[in-house]
Amino acid sequence: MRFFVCFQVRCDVHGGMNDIPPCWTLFLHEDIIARTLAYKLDLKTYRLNEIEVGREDTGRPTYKEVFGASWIPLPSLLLSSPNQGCRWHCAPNMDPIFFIPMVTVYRPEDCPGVEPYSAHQFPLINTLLSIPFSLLHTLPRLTSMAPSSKYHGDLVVMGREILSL
Amino acid sequence: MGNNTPRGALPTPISSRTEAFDAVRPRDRNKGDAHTDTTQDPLTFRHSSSDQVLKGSTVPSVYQSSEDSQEPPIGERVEIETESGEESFVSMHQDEHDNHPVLSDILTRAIAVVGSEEVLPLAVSPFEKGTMGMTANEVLMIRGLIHPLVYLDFVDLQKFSI
Repeated sequence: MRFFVCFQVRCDVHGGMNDIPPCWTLFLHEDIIARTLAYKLDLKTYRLNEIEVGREDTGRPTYKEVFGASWIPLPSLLLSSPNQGCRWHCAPNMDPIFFIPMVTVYRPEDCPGVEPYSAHQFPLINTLLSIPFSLLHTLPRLTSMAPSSKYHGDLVVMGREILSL
Repeated sequence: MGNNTPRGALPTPISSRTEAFDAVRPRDRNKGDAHTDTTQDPLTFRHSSSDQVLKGSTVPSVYQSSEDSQEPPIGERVEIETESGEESFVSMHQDEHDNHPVLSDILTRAIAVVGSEEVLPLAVSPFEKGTMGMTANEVLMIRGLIHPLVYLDFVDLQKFSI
């Protein structure tokens, strides 16, 4: 049986986050990934249309134009969409890890526990990380983990598509 | 002329969008296209010495791809197949989870994957200010623009040693 025990998620509790290859990682909530990708696709269409009608390429919009505010960390996005945040992903081959004192037990299939669904999902984690940083920093980690589901694979594909756009 | 055409509006900002994951994920955007089921039909790596190379090593990067998606992160389609027959990557990985890779395993496998392609140089300057710790080489590796063997040298493979 493989499982780990999480006492508390704190900024100073990050054991294992630098493991190579990764055993677990934070990754943006799938809806944030979806909206970012949808924006990028729309932006590509917009820029191509501008060129087609004979105008110069508008280039990359500012951060404010992309996110709709001067700077919106993820918690601000959470205010309007309470179901967003970061999910905790765990490799299916993870070794047991214990944080003491013991409070809650999560197994790899609970992290994030979306597909396949787990009745004991690891809770969402709100962070101050920007979307670009999260993608650049955590996509390689998620990609390097043994895939646990099609959900996992789709996240990787969509994340890479965002970066390529 | 086109220059007299009113400019279109910029796309709706991310914070105001309402798309959900299920509506944007690859299988829903490309209905009718076959999509690789990452849990049922993992891509396989075919190499004459794959059994020996993979034994005791952990695959550093695995990419599951749909047919219409772009190239995997390292610019290669990684295929894994053992002579003993087809075996899902997950189960194979689970069998090996107690074995940690050693430097020679990783280098041998990397050479087997990337072959003798032209090696691109590393960037020496950090990535642009504001991306918090990511180096240019890490970004270029993510984009598949740096040769994997060069990147392995850059990241200091001694980190893999236990």
